Amino acid sequence: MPELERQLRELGNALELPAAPDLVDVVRARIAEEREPRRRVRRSLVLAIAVLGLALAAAMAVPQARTAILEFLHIRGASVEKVPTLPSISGSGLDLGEPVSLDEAREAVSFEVAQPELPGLGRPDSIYVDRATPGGQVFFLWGTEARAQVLLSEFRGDLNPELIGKQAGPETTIEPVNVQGGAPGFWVAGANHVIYYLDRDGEIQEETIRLSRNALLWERNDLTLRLEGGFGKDRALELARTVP
Amino acid sequence: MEGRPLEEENDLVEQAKRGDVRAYEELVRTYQGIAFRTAYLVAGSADEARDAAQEGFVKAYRALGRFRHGAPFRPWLLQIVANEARNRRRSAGRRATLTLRLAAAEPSGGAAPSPEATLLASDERHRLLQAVSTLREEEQLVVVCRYFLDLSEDETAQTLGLRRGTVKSRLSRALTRLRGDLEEAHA
Repeated sequence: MPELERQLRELGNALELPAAPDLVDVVRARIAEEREPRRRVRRSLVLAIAVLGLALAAAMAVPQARTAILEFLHIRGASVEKVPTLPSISGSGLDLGEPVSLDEAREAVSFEVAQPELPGLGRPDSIYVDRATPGGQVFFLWGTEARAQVLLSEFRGDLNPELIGKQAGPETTIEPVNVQGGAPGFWVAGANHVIYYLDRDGEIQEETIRLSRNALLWERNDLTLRLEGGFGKDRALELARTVP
Repeated sequence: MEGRPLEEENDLVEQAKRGDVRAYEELVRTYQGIAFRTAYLVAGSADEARDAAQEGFVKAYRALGRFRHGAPFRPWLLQIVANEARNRRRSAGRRATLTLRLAAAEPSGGAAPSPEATLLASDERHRLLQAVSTLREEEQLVVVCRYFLDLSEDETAQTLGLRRGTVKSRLSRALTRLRGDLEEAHA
C-alpha cells in the first residue's frame, strides 16, 4: 500500500472520537413503539375494511407449505410482510371522512379518476378523498362504512413508494398475480392481516390498525390500486380487470 | 473488519424482516460502533451523531422490506446513517468541517510502541490531519470512509451514494492534493 494511504489509515486509528453510545435499548423501544397500534389523527387516512370474523382465522389450518410461499412482497407503493405475530387490533369499521362527488374527487387528486363500474355491483355507493396523501388518494366504496362490501383505493404509487404496509400473520397467504394486462400485483387472503400507513415524511405513526379482508394490490402505470372485500381471488381479478 | 460472516448476517436480516426484533437487535449491536463513527465523522457532533445513528437504525428497520436478499447489510445501513447525519449537519447550518483531534497519548499498554505507531511522528500526523480537514467536502468524505472508517471502495460508494468510479476519481484527486499540501508544508 502506498505510503500516504498507510499514513491516512494510521491517522484514522489515532483519532480521538467520542465513545459510541449503546443504542440497542433505545432502538428496541422505538421499534416496539411503532408496532403498537395508535389512533390516527388524520381520519381520512383510515381506510381498511371492517373486522373479519375471527372465527375464520381460528378455523384456518396452517399448512406448512403455504406459510413458506413468500415471506415478503413489494410493489411500488405497497408491501406485504409476513410476521409471526400480529400487533393487537383496536377499533373496527371504516372511517373515511366526508364523502365527495366524482368531480370533487377529480379536482382533489393529481391523476385521472374514472368512475368504476364493477360487474354485479355497479357504481360505487360513495366516493372519498384523502388529500394528505401526496398526489391524493381516492376511495370508492360499495356498501356503507358500517357494512362495507368492497373498497377500491387508488393513489400515485410513484409519489408514495411506501404508503401502504400490510403485516400478514402466519395464516395468511400472499400470492403474486398478474392483473390488467400483466400488471404486477399480489393477492393477500386467508386470514386476518393488518394495514398501517406511512405519512408523507415516510414515518409510520398515529396509525389505526384495522383488520382487513382479502385484498388485491396491483400497479398500473403511475397508480397503485387496492381492492378489498370478502371475495375470492378469481372474483377479485375479474373485478380488477374492469376497473377503468 | 467490524461485522459478521455474510451468511450469518443474511440469516439475521431475514429473521428481522419476519418481525424478529431480537435478530435486529443483534444487527444493531454489531454495527452500532461503525454507525456512530460514520455519523460522527459526517455530522461533526457527538449528539447529532448519536441521534443520526439511532434514527438510521430505526429507518433501516422500517425499510428492511426493500433490502436486497443476500446483499451486505453494513454499507446499506451506513448509507442511511450517513444521510441522516448529513441532514442534521445541514439543518444545523454547519459546514462540513472535520473537528477531529488526535488522541492525546500514544497507544499504551506498557509494551514498546508498535512499528506502526512510530511510523508517523506526532507533528506529521497533525499536518496530515490539517491537510485532510482542508480538502473539499466531497473529497474529504471519501477519504474519511475509505481510510478513517476503513471501508472498501464498494462500501464507500454505497455509503455516500456514489458510483464506484466517482469514488476512485475523488480519492485519487484527494490523494494528489494531500501529497501537494504535505510537500508544501515540508518545503
